[in-house]
Amino acid sequence: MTIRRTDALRTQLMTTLNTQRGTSAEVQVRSGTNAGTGGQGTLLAELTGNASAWGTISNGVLTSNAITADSSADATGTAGHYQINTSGSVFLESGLLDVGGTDGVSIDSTSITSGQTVQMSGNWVNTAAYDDGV
Amino acid sequence: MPEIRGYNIKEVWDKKLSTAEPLIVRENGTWKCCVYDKGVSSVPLETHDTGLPHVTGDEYDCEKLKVCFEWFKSVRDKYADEKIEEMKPFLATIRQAEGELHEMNAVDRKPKPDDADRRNQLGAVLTEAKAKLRQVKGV
Repeated sequence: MTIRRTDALRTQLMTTLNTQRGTSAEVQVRSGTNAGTGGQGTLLAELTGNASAWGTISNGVLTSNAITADSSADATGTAGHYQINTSGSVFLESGLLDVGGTDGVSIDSTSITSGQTVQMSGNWVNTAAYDDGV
Repeated sequence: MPEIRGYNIKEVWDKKLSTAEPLIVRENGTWKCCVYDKGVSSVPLETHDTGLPHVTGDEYDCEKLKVCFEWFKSVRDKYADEKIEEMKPFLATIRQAEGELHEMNAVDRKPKPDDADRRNQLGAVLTEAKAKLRQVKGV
């Protein structure tokens, strides 16, 4: 089954996502797999969403603004999933990492050593397409 | 002591100075404060049901956040890293540099001519502070 949505609807969906993530969101890199409640696995690093707005939307596609790196990773481990909390640490969402890929969150390596810098390898792109999982 | 404003969890809890992390979840109709072990999570170390009703779209409700932050503040010190006092000065340097970089990344900020130089300076500051922090932590 393929779901097709108008740009207007996709934009509306992405606007909600953009608003919920808000400013200075916590973008956590964690080990293991995610669950619906957050707090799964080991916290390896925490990046910070843009101070002005999470991202910008064009034709139903949400692209993050610059996300500030974590200069000093919390622990050593293998990255397995991400978790996004608001700046106030209210759990919003979690999902699998796409290392080096282009779907959703992408960091440059899954192998993280305590104290290292952890950064995004590119902008975080979300769409409301059928296969996006959003 | 600065007043809790309920905007950012860092007002009350710096995860890098702690063995645990705070998380607020909104489930079964109320706001709940959870504390997770940073190393072996999945089951909270402790949970506090604030009794505050959860309604759709209230994730940035500062009054509810303040209530949660007050509770987190009341339990925070139990989870302080044993080397917290040694770590504080280096982490403060890191936080200050990261904060400045975060502001520079903001999309509504007008770029300045010396931004590149300042980023390089902050990079050097971070490298030095990170090395000292690693030394303290023994990693």
